[in-house]
Amino acid sequence: MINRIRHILLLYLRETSFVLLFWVLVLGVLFAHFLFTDLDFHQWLVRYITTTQYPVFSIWSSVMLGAGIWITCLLGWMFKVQYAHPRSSLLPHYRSSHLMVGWICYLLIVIGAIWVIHVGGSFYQDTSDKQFAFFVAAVFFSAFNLILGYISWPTFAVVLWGMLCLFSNYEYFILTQILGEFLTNVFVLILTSSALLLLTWRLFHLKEEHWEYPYLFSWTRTSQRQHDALLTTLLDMVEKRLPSHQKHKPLKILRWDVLRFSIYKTILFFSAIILPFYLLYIKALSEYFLSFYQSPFKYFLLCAYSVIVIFGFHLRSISLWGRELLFPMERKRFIKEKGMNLLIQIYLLWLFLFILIILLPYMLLMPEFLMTAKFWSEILLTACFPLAGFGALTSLRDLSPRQSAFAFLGIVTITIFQMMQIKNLDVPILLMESFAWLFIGVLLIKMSYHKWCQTEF
Amino acid sequence: MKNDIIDVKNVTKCFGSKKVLDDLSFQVGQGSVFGLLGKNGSGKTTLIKSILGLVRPQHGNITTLGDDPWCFQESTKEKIGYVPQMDSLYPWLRIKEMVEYTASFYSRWNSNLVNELIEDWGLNPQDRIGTLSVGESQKVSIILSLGHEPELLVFDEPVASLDPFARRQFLKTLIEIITRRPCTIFFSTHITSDLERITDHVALLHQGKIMFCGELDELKTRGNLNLEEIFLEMTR
Repeated sequence: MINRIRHILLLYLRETSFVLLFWVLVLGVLFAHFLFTDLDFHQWLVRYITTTQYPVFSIWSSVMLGAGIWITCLLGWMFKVQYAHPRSSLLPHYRSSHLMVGWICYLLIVIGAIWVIHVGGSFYQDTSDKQFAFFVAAVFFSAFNLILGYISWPTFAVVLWGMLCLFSNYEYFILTQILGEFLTNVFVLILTSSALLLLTWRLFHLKEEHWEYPYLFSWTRTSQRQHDALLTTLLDMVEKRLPSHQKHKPLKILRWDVLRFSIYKTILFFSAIILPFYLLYIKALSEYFLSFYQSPFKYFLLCAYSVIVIFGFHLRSISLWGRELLFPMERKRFIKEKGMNLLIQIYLLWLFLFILIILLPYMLLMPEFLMTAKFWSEILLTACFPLAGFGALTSLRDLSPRQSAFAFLGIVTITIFQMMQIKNLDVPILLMESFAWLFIGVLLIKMSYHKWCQTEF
Repeated sequence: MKNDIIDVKNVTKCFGSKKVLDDLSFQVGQGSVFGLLGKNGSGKTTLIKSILGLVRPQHGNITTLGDDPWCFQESTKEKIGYVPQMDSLYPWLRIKEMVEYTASFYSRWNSNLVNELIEDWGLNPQDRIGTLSVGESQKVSIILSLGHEPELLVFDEPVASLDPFARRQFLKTLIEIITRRPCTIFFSTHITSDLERITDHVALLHQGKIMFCGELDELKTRGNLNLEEIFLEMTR
């Protein structure tokens, strides 16, 4: 039994994402430890997790919390993988062992979450109700992430991780507000426990025959067709509105990609569901969101995220380009269309994030800011930067996953530095910087276009 | 019959309006090597999945090793080895780790047999699953299904992605297993020559119906045709 549990744990720990995450966490903590050696380590950790007034501190705590969210999402996704295979029905003790490991991991995560809140919790632990709320918050968030990872596709979990990471510094403040009352705490606790028990019971019996199986383990052909039809109809409408000479191929290639990648369907589907709740959430907790929106890090997703996500999803498909080159299309035109297609997708995601994270909350919370030149020049900068990021990525000699990962890291680092100084810049400087990124982007794309025309696939 | 390892009675399975298995009935006796022959889309995989309780027929009954497949007991699972048509192993694990992981679920595991097969089939235990070819992955799946020395081995087109050499070795291994200890083998294929080499009983499946079920020799006595010709004749 112990041997079995050990092997299941090893199976999870050997998975690349967990290995990478482990090293990111270890190196991150060591790096931060040596960087701030004047502070006692424990003291330092407490400050990192709890302090939000220092940007560097809040970044680190965001990374730590983001990593926690990622781990639980991945864990949920790993469960899904286990139960989608015939071996879950045919290997003895398979389901019970995996469920046991799942519960062990979940409890460890809850303990971790409680520790994080407890260490930084002297501020909150003024009443017993509040103390109870910490436990409920930890149980709720861990279960929420786990179930989210389980019902989602990994691509969606990544997007979600990015979104949640953005708010991670504030989630415990928000939770303390929500979970203040004893009865609310009990209600949330019962709800969470019921959801987890239901999940456990279902996993114990789930087979191909059950109605939710295709939704959890593979998008059903029927629902996929419905989503495809909806999106391609939208694309058709856009194409019809273009003047005839502009009916170019990027939209056609975009349509192929819409059919090939699930990410767009998933993002649209879940956004439609969560948007009303999201807006209500912002409105109800406006004072906490206001403090977040005063920091420049809200622009992080706009600058770096769209490029990284779109490029990341397309990396694997680049290996198919060799076959697609056999389509009756001139090579130069093919490369141009592929590039245009990527850019369109980057800016569609940029637009989506802009509306969701910036425009709607600003309209609700601080409409007066929308009238200022400073706001729009900051937005312009975030619009120009992805072009430079795209140019930099396409300029790489080859797009191997390792090299791309380093490039992604570079883009993230530059974005963070840019975000740190954006608040102090005036409108003319912001405009100049936007223009500079635009120029760099166009130049790099131009140069890389010629390189890609000569590349062997 | 008491000695039937698999007992299928009037089984019907539909996906939507499509009838994939149509009132099937047959038995597989203990110690026999039972071949299921059928064209693509004839319902072979669905029948195998029903026998293993991965899907549930709308009508009829199936008993596998004396147990209801839909809710197999853990002790029954110990006696079954299964290789799906396309197995999905964990790409991040090494072959050795995959073997250890699978072995941890069984109370009995023949490491010598597994190591022998890994060596005979030219696999390196340190290789990652993700770097293996389709045929090599299939070899790993087959090895994993044999490690716990099951009483019933179920293969869903196991040799389709193997090269001729590996196919020959696989069949040789099966013959060795049969001669070494009592074991029932149920396998589907569309390669008639494989059936002729090792099976003693055969069922021909066509559009969800059994066209023939019985001893291979009985089938061969039908005219002067070989198995492939008989198969083509019956499924025309």
